[in-house]
Amino acid sequence: MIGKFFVLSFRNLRHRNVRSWLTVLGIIVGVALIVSLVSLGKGLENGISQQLKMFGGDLLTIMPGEETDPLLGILGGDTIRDRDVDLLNDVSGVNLVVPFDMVYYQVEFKGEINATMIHGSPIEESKELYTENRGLGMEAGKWPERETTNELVLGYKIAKSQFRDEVFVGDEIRIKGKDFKVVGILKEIGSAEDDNAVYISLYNLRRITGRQGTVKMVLVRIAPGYDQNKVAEDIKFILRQERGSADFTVLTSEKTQAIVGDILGAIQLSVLFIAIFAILVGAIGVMNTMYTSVLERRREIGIMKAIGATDTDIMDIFIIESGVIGLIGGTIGIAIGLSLAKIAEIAAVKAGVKFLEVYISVQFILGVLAFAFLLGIISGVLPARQAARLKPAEALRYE
Amino acid sequence: MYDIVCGMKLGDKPTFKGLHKRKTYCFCTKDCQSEFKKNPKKFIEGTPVVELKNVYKEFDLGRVKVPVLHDLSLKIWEGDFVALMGVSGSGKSTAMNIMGLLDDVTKGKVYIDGKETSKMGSNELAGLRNEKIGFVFQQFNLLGALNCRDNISLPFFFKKKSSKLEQNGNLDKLINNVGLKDRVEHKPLEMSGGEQQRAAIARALVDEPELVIADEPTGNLDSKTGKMIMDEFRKLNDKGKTLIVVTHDSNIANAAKRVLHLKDGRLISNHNNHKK
Repeated sequence: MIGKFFVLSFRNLRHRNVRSWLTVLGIIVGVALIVSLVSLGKGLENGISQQLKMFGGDLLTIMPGEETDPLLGILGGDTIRDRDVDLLNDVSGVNLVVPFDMVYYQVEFKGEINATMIHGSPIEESKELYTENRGLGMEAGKWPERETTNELVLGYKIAKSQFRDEVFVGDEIRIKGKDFKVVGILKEIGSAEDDNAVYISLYNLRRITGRQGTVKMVLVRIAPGYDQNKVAEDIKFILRQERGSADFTVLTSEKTQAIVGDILGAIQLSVLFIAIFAILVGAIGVMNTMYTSVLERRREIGIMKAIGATDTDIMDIFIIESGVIGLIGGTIGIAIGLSLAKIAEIAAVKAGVKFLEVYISVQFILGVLAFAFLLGIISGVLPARQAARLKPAEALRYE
Repeated sequence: MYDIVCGMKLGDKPTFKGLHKRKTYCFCTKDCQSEFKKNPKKFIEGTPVVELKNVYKEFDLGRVKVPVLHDLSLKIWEGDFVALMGVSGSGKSTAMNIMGLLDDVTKGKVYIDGKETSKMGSNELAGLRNEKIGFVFQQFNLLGALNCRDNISLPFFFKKKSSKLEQNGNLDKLINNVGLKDRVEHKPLEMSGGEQQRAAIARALVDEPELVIADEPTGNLDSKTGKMIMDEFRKLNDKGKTLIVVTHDSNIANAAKRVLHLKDGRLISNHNNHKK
């Protein structure tokens, strides 16, 4: 009998085509939002985790600014001094210290000027870090030989597409009136910031900026066999003593991942609330449609009851109808949501963000489908009850 | 007074109902004979298909209570063709709804096949309607979303177990009988009034009910189609179906075997049109 009710429900929905589709649209929007946001969010989280893993679990990041707000420290102009950097080499368990400075400057190539980020770090140490820890290879050329030569390495994108003409190894780039020779072009990393950056020695960066004695960030590599949390605590102790306060942040890879996870989690939660709100609005739309349907079909309900439909039969018919609306909306919403997420992934790749990959899980899809169907059913319960309670004679009198 | 035919017992009431027309009864035992002598009316009349006993019905409209039926008692027998007549507001539709178990009574009792229905729940009443009663309405009342065939077989949607007609696959035969073979895929909006009413009649009969109740079945039809519909009803009655037709049309009343007149919710006359 339930099979026959499904047939009846489908036919009723087809008979009221426009209204049925408008109601389904509400569910589609909510489900598409949920699916696209969760797929992208999870994919982004996975991608960032992978990126962080590239740094390895043996790297610590030291930045100026308190732990609660390290970015504010950098933006506020706080720095790590050379004296602090020197002390780090003496910390037990540290086998590589790489200070970094960065600045946003105009870069000129064949008369064309573009502003871009310039990273400065000691050549030998940073070469070791990039190749061993991050596995970064050269698309063309090599790293500069010495700290003091006017040579630089370009990120993949800045060489290929930032300027009208492609930049090749051997070309000359001008930064703040000083000419530098391009000796290397990095392979594509997948991060827009890294692929659009210029890499020069710390010595040269200081020559350009005039800043001496300070850097914006230090990467510290831990020797095998040492616990990163212990080494981090030792570094904090030494720096607190040297600086006289805890106006710096030491991030382990775990902590970095946790911070990123928290930020992403907060963003995902916010957008998930919006998506759930959208789907609730859709569910209210279903309920509204079903109430209207019960009102319009009072006579029909009377006929069915006259013919022998029980209260339960009537309730089943209306609940199945609203469930089917949820199911159809859920199916189409999932298809649209996944398509939107895929489009976003393709757009991100085109923009140079390689690590954004859509996350698709069969359990998640089935769960969303079941949720949409259930939501449809729940939305239909109250109107169905109202329909079931109608007395046959009363319903038949309805004009 | 009556012929005695051997071979039957006191409990064979349905058979008694059939035989009472010929006023022939069989008593195999002395108990049967003494029962008959005590209450011959019980044996002669049998059990009515529908019986209303002292029915009073009022509609509660909040501040006002509107009485519609007053102390209404009537019996409809198997094989009856009854026209229920009265002017607008006489209570005939209310009486029809009560007989068809579509509405309840304020006071009094309603019996279907001897079973009192006042204590039955809505689901049990729905089951009785599905099993024993077929309805034909003035406005046809087909479901717009379904085609002709599905409308006719609608009672099967709510059947807990399949009916004889379904088992025998006689649905197509019924559709042919009402002349709708070429309309089975059409929706009600694509059918004429006469075709829709024939579909409604087929729907009322599809599960072979004992009783067919028709409310102004020709009210929305032209005279030619109306006559055709009434001929269908006569044929049904000739085959033994019990019919109750609610009407204010005297032409239809003339086709019936018995006419009940209602006025102000009371039965004012109950007469046979002709003897069979």
